Amino acid sequence: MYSDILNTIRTAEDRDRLIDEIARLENAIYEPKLDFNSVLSKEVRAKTAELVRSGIGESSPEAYLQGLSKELVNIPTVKISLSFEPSEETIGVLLAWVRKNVGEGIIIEFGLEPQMIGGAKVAFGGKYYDGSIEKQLDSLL
Amino acid sequence: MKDYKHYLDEIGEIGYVNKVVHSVAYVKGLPGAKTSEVIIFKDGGFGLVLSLMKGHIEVLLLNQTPVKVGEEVTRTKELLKVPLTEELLGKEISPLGTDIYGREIIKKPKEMRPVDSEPMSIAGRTEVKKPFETGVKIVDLIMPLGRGQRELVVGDRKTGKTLFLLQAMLSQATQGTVCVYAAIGKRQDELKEIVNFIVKNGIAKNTIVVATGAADPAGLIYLAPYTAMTIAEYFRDLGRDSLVILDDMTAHASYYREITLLARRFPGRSSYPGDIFYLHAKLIERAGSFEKASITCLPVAESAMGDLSGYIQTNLMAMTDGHIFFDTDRYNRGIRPAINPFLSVTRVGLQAQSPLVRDLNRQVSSFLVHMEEIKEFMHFGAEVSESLKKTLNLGIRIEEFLGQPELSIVPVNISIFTLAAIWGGYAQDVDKNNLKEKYNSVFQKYSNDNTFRQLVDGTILGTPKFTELVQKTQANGGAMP
Repeated sequence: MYSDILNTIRTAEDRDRLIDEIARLENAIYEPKLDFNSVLSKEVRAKTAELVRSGIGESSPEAYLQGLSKELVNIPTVKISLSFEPSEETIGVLLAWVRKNVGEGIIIEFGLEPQMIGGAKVAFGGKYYDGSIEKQLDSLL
Repeated sequence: MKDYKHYLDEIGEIGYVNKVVHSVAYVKGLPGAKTSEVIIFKDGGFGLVLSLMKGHIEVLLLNQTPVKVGEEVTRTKELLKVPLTEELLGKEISPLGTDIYGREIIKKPKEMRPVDSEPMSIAGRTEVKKPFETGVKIVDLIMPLGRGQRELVVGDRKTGKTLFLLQAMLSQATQGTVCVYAAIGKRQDELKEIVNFIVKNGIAKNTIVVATGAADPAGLIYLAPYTAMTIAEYFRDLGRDSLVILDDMTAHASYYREITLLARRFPGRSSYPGDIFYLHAKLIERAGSFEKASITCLPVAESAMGDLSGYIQTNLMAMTDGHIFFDTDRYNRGIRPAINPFLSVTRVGLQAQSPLVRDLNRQVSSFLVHMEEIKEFMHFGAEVSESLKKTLNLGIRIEEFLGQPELSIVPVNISIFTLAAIWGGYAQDVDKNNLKEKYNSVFQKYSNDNTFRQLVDGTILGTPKFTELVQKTQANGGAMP
């Protein structure tokens, strides 16, 4: 039911932004002075608005949004810390690799740690791996 | 303990704080975590795993610094241990073995032991055989204790319990016993008074204070008695007798209740968790008389309005070898110490005493009961016969004798000798208001006069029966001041 909208999320930033938009829409349902459709067209990204409208269809917006909020909170996340801000291409490559080798539907939360120099630190499912150049230099010294 | 980065690299597991409820944090991740394992936070703080749930673990926080949601944590694969060495003597430490500001004070510990361990099985234990002198006359004569006994000290607030404990500590520390005082959630001024007492009386070299203030995290306060018992076990294994004072266990139960209610455990009677008895019994059972040495334990329980039938109080009475009851009524009447000898019990103390003390105890206890009956009888205003007058007179002398100023100790031999002398008619003509001074002069003479002390000690040693001792004190009447 939510796969269309969930497939648009690649990173934790995307997820948090979507959570914020869903919260505004939920607020519009319960706040009498606000109009749901007006908020959907003015305060939410066009792509999101389109996916929400098609997702709701004939069902209740309230139920749809509550279910979507729950799904968003439970999306499995891999934390990857890099020494630089990744470009779109890098995000795409990393995401493809993660979804192929770890599991579908996983998103990436990026951390920035310039002192790593290079490499990456990865944490998923409670497991942690430090593949940074900083660690390798520390062990050499 | 090493730092966060070391454990993260070595073990390769990470968790993130999901929720914090006062002293309990909920952490997602750490798939290999075990209960009671130490968890370390990225900022250096740490906690203990309380329980393992589906999807998260509950961590009991042990540091003052607040924890934020999203903070990284890792496991250490270690139980919480405390550094142990003889250098601890004379120090005031936190339950983690650091000083009260969290700084490491033991650089090279001889041993590190987990604070929570199983009590020794029956194989390593022996009978309670040696007497334990508190220096408080009424206790040493009427409800004597033995080394390795667990005796509950119970009474309302402000009835003199802590003062009694300090007297016992003074008496034992001067004899070389290692005294470990666990202050459980005490006020800072109370802690200061205890430390000042120890320093002023020169017993710091045989004393350790495990201190937690009321403002400390609940997790740290919860650990205080466990650390104290672990330290006592260390000295026991070195062949030294120890005394552990747990002041007080009702506060400990309250803090544990706070932790378990925050952790959403099902509340039992009076909202205490179901395992409150087990929690205390497992601790108290670690004391006792062992082959190498003994650990005598004096846990303290505070009652409300003299009610001994409270939940925690009765729990503690069930798991100890007797109790000393501090009566508010007696306190308000000016009796010090305010110990009620009729409601106090010693279960294994008498077997550790000499035949003389057992005989004295039997006769004097019986006399005190008889005195109470006479007092009841006198309410009717009936005429008093000569023999009854004599009994009343003796009763007044004995009651004055059993009174004792706070924070003073009296060696048991001179107590026995003086009581025998009183029984035989010593100071029978002295006015009631001058009796204290008279008795104090005897104690002073014992402290200052070697000849008198040798006479007293020699007489006590060579006399198995109380009536025989009474006769000897009458014969030696000239030696008494």
